[in-house]
Amino acid sequence: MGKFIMPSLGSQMIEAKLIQWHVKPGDTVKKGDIIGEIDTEKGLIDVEVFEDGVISELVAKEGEVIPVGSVMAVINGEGKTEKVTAKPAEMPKESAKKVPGDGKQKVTTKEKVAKSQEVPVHRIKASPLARRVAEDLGVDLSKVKSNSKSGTIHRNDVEAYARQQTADETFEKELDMAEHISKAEGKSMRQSIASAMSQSNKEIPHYYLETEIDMKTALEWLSAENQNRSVQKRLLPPMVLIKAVANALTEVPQLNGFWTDEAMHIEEGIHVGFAITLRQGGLVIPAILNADLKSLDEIRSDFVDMVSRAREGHLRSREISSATITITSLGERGAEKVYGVIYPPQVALIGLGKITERPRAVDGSIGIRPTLTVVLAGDHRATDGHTGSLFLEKLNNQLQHPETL
Amino acid sequence: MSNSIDSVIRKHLHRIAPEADLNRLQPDDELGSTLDIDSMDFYNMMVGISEDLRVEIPEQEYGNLRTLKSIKEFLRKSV
Repeated sequence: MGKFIMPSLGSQMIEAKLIQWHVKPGDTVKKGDIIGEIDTEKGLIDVEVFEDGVISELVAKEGEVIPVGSVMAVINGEGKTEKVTAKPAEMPKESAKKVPGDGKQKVTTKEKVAKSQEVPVHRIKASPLARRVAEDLGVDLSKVKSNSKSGTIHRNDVEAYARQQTADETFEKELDMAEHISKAEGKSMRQSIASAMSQSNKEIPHYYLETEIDMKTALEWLSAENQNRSVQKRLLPPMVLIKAVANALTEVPQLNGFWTDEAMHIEEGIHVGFAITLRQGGLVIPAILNADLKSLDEIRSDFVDMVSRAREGHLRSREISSATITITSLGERGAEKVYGVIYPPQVALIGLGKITERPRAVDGSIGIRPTLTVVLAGDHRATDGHTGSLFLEKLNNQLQHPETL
Repeated sequence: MSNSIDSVIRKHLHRIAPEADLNRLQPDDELGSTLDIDSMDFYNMMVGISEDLRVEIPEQEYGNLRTLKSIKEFLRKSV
């Protein structure tokens, strides 16, 4: 049984209005499916579901303003309901059989879950190491789900559960805070940007590092590559830059993550946020998820898709809340440098200026080269200039070998 | 043909910059600065035009296609 709650799309978000549901009770949904559309200070956002299952109840009504963390829908998870390993095969069937909207049967399932959680700890299949780790971390083994086929709980299952628990607690804390903040009706995107940027400026001790990157090789490679591509498949500089940033972060992961609870938390997934200006004013920062693992072509299609959806107001909740680092790019008509403001709780922002022809020393003489100024804004609580410098060096290396991107 | 070229260009300009008054756009106005469209918008417009008119627009031409007039001239030659 899963409760689908109003997602938090940033520390400033308090509530959002449900515009419409795309599903009805009885519909089967898969993880990642878009089940509804909400209106937030970041524009219209498509909300995705995070588990497989069957929609049992739509709690929130269309047009209703829902606080972050409130239940919007109840989903009967298929396979996910099983929290105890005692009877791995039976529970999912039970929930799948359930007739949607049938209150009585829902209660039955609930009771079963409750019952199965009462299995004595010594009867739970768990490795000795898992038991010890669970004790150390204060984790209730009966609540841990096994990832192995045999149903035995291993150490990593316990640790994963503990991590999730911490994340949930942080989320609850944020919720409490959100409830205390007076609810500004219809908080505009401008106000939302204002509070995030003020918070950043107040709390984050920024340091800035700037470097010029010779883009001749990268641009020549790009234009040769594009000659063999149809208009629809063409690569643009920002796509190459996103990929280069993601690759460089695999070498210098210290800049990828969040500063929370007075500590740096390096994230494993590299989700590169890209600031997109909206015509009606304001900006949104959707992220290309796992950009380091994607091919340049995958980044290309993600990027094209994301920019058009950003402008039409159909970004997905996960894209808008996942960025682990942000790129702000001024495009081809902007200024040559941008000293950005870090988007908290991220710890770095990469500012890309306009690529212009500039005189450069090349092999002992002066040549005119297309040049890009990259300005890295780093959070000095999380990293030092040395790390930032290393990152810029790796980024430059990536861009000097575009064929390997 | 030139009518349909004109309407296709206008259709895509309107899609990208819905608030702009295209009737006030002069043939020699630089589209990027006049309508505040960036390279991504421009790229999307090229994709749209090439799909509607079934014409390949080589990347080397992008630099020349900065005004209504130049885009029309290129398309008249190519379609």
